[in-house]
Formats: sequence, C-alpha cells, structure tokens
Amino acid sequence: MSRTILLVDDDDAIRLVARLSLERLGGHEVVAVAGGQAALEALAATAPDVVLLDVMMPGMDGPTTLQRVREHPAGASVDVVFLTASVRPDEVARLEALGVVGVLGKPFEPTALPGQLAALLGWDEGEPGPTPTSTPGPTPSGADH
Amino acid sequence: MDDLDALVADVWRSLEPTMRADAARLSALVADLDADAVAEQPPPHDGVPDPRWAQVRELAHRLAGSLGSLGQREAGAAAVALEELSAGLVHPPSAAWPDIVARTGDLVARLGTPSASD
Repeated sequence: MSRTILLVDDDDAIRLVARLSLERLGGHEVVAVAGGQAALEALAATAPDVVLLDVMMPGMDGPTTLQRVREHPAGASVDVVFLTASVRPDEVARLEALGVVGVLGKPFEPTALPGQLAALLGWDEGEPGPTPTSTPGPTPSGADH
Repeated sequence: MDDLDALVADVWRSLEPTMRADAARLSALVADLDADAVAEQPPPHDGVPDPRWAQVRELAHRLAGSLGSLGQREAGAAAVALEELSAGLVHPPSAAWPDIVARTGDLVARLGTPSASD
C-alpha cells in the first residue's frame, strides 16, 4: 500500500537516495524538503502518513522541527521517525523520549530502508530491514517531487 | 533492485565531485589543526571552540551520514569512524590527534581523494 512520506533532510545526497529507495522500492510517494521551515509549510498540503526527519540540520534542527510539527494543526498526531548519523544508544534514547515512533540510522542501505521504515511503523508491506534501531537521511517552496 | 543500484550509482556520480571536495577540505582542516597541535601552540581563540574544528565535525558528520548510502561502503565506514571520534568533542585533546589524523587519512585514501599532505 502506498503511503505519503514527508522527508526532511538538509543533505542533498540523502534526499536523493532515500527518495529513490522509498519511491522505487517501497512504492511510496515522497515529498522531500531541505529544512524544518519547509517541512512545516509542506505539512498541511502533504498530509503525510509519516515524517522522516533528520536530526542535525542548520537553522531549525530535528527536535525543534518536531516541536513545531506537534504545534501545527496538521501535525499533532502524525507519526515521526528521526533519521540520524548519531546512533549512540544514549542519543537514540534521548531522541525516542521526544515522542517519535523510532530512530533510523544514517548511512542506511537503500535496499533496506523501505522495510526498516515499515517495520518501525507496523506497516504490513515491504521486507523487514536488518535492524531498525528504533536505525538511521529531501523541498514546498523547494520541495523535491 | 539492480535498477535501484544503478540509480544510486548515478546519484553518486552526480555528487562525487562535491563529496571529494568536502573530503579534501576536511583533510586540509585536520592538517592545519594538527600542525597547531604538534607545535603545541595555544588555542587560537582562548576558551572558545576553534571554528576549524567545528567545520571538521560538520564535514565528518555529513560524509559519515551519506557515503555508505551512496554505495561507498569502505569510505563510508572510514567516515563513520572519524565521526564517532569527533562527535561530542568541543576541544579535541592533543592526545586525540594521531587518531584523528589517521582516520582522516583513511577516509581520503578510501575515497581516492588527494590528502592535504600529498
């Protein structure tokens, strides 16, 4: 079943590869933005099933973006998964405590990403990925479609 | 799957010049900082994190997060090793420099990027 994923990451490489993986392999629709403000602007128009959110971004970082998403009428209950290169257990625990579904690590294996995301979210489609660590990652005014 | 691998390879080819430039910049910054550390010069900004080190951390973090996903597994692993060493270090102690220099050298070698010492 196709889902809509709002992917938020300032890294061009991650936006490109994650998008290819989630669209081509996962069969999902991906709206990719490069920062927190763009994510907030995309939220209402996109009505995503999940927000895949980078942690370290210039300007508005992931946790701050999460807080703003929760304050947004369209984002109060949306599932959010953090995407981060910092997968130390203490950091993962800190992020999970912020009220997200889980944490995916970067770098990710493009062939495994859709399954890892599906496993975290309890989606019944896709191949389960190797180890979603509860594991490690695109522009409305600048959205990559 | 093969189709995805081919597409990821295309993405790598399009980003390769930028990422090699980032690695070369990282190498130059580390060499610069290492020269200061070896000479035991006082920090350039007394008590304030060296902005060059902040750039090293930012570049290492970015390369660590993306190289592996672009099919550059060996270089990606080297970047992750460097990122693990640098993450959380506001003022890297001089004792850490040999490892930082070695891991940076490993990264640029695996990426095939000329290092600052070449």
